[in-house]
Amino acid sequence: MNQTISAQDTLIKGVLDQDLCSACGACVGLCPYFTFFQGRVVVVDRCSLAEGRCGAFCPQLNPGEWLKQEGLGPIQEQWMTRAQTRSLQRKGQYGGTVTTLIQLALEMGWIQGALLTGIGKGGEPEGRLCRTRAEVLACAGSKYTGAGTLSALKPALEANEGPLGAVGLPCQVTALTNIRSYFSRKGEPLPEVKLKIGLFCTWSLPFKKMQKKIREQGIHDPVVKYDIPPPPAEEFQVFTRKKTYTLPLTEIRPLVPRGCLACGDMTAEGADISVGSAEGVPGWNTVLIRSEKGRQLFKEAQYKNLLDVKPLPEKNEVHLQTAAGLKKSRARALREEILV
Amino acid sequence: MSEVPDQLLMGNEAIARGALEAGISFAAGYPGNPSSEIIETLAKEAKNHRLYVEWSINEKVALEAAAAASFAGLRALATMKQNGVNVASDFITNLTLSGTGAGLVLVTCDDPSGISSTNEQDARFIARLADLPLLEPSSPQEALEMTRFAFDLSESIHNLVVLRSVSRLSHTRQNCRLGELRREDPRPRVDLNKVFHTFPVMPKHQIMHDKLRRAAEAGEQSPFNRYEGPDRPELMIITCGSGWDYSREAVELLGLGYRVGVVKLGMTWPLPVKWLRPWMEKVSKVLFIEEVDPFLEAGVKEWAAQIGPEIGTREFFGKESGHIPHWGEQTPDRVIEALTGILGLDYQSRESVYQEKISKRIQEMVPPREFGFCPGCPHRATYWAVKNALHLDGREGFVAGDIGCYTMGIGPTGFNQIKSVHAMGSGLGLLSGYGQLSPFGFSQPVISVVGDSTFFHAAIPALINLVHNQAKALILVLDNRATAMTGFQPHPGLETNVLGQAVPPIPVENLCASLGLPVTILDPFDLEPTSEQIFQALQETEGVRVLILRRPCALVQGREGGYPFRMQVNAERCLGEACGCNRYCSRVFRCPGLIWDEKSGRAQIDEVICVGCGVCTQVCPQKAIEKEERQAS
Repeated sequence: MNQTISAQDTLIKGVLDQDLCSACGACVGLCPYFTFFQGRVVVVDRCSLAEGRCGAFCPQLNPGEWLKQEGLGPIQEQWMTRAQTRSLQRKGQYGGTVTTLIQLALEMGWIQGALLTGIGKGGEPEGRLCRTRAEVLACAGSKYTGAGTLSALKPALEANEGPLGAVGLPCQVTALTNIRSYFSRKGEPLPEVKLKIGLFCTWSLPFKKMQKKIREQGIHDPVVKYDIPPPPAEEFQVFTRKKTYTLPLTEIRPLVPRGCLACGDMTAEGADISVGSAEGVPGWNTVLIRSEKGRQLFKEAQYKNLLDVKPLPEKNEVHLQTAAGLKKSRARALREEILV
Repeated sequence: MSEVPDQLLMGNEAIARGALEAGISFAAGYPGNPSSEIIETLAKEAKNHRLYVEWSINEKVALEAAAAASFAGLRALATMKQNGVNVASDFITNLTLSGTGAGLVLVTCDDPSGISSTNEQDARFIARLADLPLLEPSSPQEALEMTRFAFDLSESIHNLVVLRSVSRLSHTRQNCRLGELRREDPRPRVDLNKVFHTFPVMPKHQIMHDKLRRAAEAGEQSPFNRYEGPDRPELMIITCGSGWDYSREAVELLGLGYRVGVVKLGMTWPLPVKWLRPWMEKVSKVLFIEEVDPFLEAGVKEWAAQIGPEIGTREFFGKESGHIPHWGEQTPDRVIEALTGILGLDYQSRESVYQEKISKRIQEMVPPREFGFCPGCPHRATYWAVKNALHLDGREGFVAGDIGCYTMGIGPTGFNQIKSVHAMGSGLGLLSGYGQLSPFGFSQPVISVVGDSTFFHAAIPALINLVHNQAKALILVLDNRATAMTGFQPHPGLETNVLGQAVPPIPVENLCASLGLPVTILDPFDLEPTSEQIFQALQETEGVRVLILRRPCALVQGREGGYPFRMQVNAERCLGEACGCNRYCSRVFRCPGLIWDEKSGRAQIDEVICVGCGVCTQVCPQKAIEKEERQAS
C-alpha cells in the first residue's frame, strides 16, 4: 500500500481543513471526487493520484503574482467609468462597466461566450456560460458570496465553439492563470480563455452562513444585491426588490472565511481589466487597464460611446493604494504564520 | 425390526433427526448461523410427520411458542445462535421456575471466533444463570443421541434442557447410526390442575435446584462421559464438545498417549463430579480445552476448591493461566502449543523454511479480498446515495448500522458509512438517544439503516419509542425482500412461511402508517433521486422520517430472471487512471463486475460476474459505461 500523499489530500489538509478555501470553484467540475454545493467545496470521495489538476489550479496553494509584487500590479491606464445606458447603470453593482465590456466583447466576436456568476434556482450563486446580451445582463450585480464560478469552466469550454471570456474575483483570476500554466507545462492545448475581467474584492462570504444570517434578520424575499458603503458607515446593505436592509458590519465580519484574509490581491492583479467601485462617487466604477487586450477592448467601448469616462481622482487612487496595500501586508503576515 | 441404514448427516441435521426420534411435534427458532439448518431440515420433514415448524419473529417468541406446546403435552424444540439465548433469557429465567410439561429442549449453536457474528460469546452462561442441565455433543452422532437423551431428561425433571453446539460441530458431517422414529400422537391439553407460573418464587426456586440435582444424577449415569489415555496420566485434559477431537488429535500428533489422558464430559452443567473424582485424584496437572469461555474450567476449579481439603491442590492450565487464549476458536495447534508449553517439549508443526516459503507464496498468489456486496446488490446503491447525501450535508453525519448483509456498510464495499453495529435493532435503539441530543448542541445528523427482516425482528419497539418520545430520527429500511444473510428464510414481510404455505404479507409501510409516520418508498438503483431524498430528509429538524429503499436482493432477482442488460465500457471515453477519473468505477464504486485492465489502462466489465443491473452507468463521470438490452433468446 503506497502512502504517498495525493494531490487531493494536499488540497484537503492544506486548504479546506484550514478554512483557507475562497470558493473560487477551480478544483471542482473536473472529476467526481469534489463537488460544489451550497457555497462550499465538498469532498465526495478520495482520489489517490499524486498529481492532479485540482491542486495545480488552486489559487491558495499557488498564489498569484500579488504575493511578490508591490503596489496594485501592472497598470497601463486607470479611469473612472460608468455605462452610458441608464438601464445598465441601474442593473450594475456600481456603474455597469463590466456588463458593458462583456456585452461588447461578445458583440464584436472577440469571445463566443462568457463565464459569469448568476443566481441558481435555490437562490445560490453559480457559474454560468452566457452568450447573449440578456444572459449577460441577468448576471449583473455583485453576489458577495463564494460562488464556485470556475466549476462551470470545463463544461463552458466544452460547450463553447470559440474563445471564452470570464469575469472573476481575484482568486478566480489567479486560478485561470494557474490553469493556463498547467496546460502549458503539460504541452497540451491551452483552454481558450481570451479575456479576463477581474473584480475588486476585500472578501466574500460563505453562502450558507449568509443565508442563515439573512433569515435570522427576517429577510425572506430574494436578495438582488449586497453592498458595503464606504467607511465610516460600518454597514452591510442587503437589497431585495421591495426593500433595503442594513446590518452592522460587525455581525458580518466574523463570517469571512480565513481564505479571504490570506489573500492579498484586492484588485485582481492578473486580469486584463480590473473593475471596482469608485469610492465616494456612487454609480461609478474604478477601472484599471492592465494588458494590451484590455486596452483594446476599452478603446472600442470608448469609441462606441458605451461608457462615460473620467480621470480617476487622485484621492481615489491614493485610497485604493492604501487599502490594497493594507490587505496585501495583512495577507502576507497571515501566510507566514500559517505556512511555517 | 427394520434396519435403518446409516446416513451422512451434518451436526444440525443429526440434531433434527434426534428430535424426530424423540417424537417432537413442535419446533420454532430464529435464523442465525450456525443454527439455521435445524429448523430448515425439520421444515422439510414436517409433511412426513405430525410436526409444526415455524421461524418465529425472535428467539424469545420461538421459545415461548415451543414452551406452550410443552405445557400442552407435546415435545418441542427451540433453536437459535448464541445471541438468541440472550434474547430468550428473560423467558428462560422464568421458565426454569414455572417448570415445563412435555420434553422441551433449547439448542444453542455458538460461533467461536465470531466468524458470522457480531460477537464471540458463550451461551452456556444460561445453564448457570437459570440452573439448567447443559449437554455438549462432540460429534454429529453424539448430537443425535444427546438430543434424544435431552428430551427424556427434560421430561423427567420438568424443566428445560440446553444442548450446546458450535459451528464446526453443526456443519461437520458424519455417518450416523439412526434410531427408530418415535410415533406418539398425544392430543394436546393443558392440565388445569397444574400451573405454569413462578409463584411463590422462593419455594419454586428451591424446587428448581432439586431438579438440577436430579439432572446431575442422570449426567453421572449417561454414556456421554469418556476417558481416553493411560491409567496414571501425568497430565489430564478435561474437555467437552468439539474440544474432544482437537485434544485427541494433539495428543496423537505429539505421541503423548502414554503421558496424557483426555476426559470428555457430556453434561457440563451440573458437573458429573462423582464420575470425575477418581480421575482428579490420580492427576496433578489439568489442562482445560473448551470453546469460548472458561465455563468448564471455572466449574471444575470451583469444585476442586471445595474438595481441596480432601484431595489437595492441583495445577490448572487453560484460559486463566494464559496457555489458551481467551479469544478465537480452538484448534489442534492450540492444544499442541499448550501441551508443549506445559510439558516443556519442542515441537514444530512445519519446518521454518517451509513456513517462510508458503507465507511468501500466499502473499504473491492470493490477492487480498475484502468482504463485498454481490454485483447488483441494492445495498451498494443505497450506501452510495447515503455517502453522497451526508457529504453534501456537511455536518459530519453518520450511520448507525444493524445486522444483515448491509452490515458490510462498515467497510469499503459500503463506503465505510456505518459507525456502529451491535445487536438486532440496536441501530434504531441508538437513535432514541442521538435523537434527543439537539438541545445539548448535538448537530450531527444520524441515519439508522435496518433491513426488512431485522425491522420485524427487533426494530418495531424501538420505532414506537422514537415516535412516543418524540425523538428526531431518520430511518432507512433496506427492503431487499429477503432475510438474505442467513439464507433467505421467510419473514413477515414476505408471502410464504417455512412450510411453504401462502401467508398474508405485512408491509413495512403499513406498520409505519399505523404509527402515523409518513413513509417514502424509493428505488435505490436511482442513485441521484435517492441521494436527493435522503439529503432533503436530513434537513428536517424534528420528527421521525422513514424512507423505504425497496429493491430485491441480487440473488432473489437472479432466481426471478435476473437483469436484462449487457454492460460494456466504451474504451475511448474511459479516462482510466487519468486525472478526472482515477479508476472511479472499480476503485471507488467497487462493484465486482467492474475490473481494471492493466494492459489497456481502461476499466472493463467482467462478464462472468456482472449481472447486468445497469447501475454503474450512473456512476462513470465520462458516461463511458454503456448498457444494452439483451435480446430474449
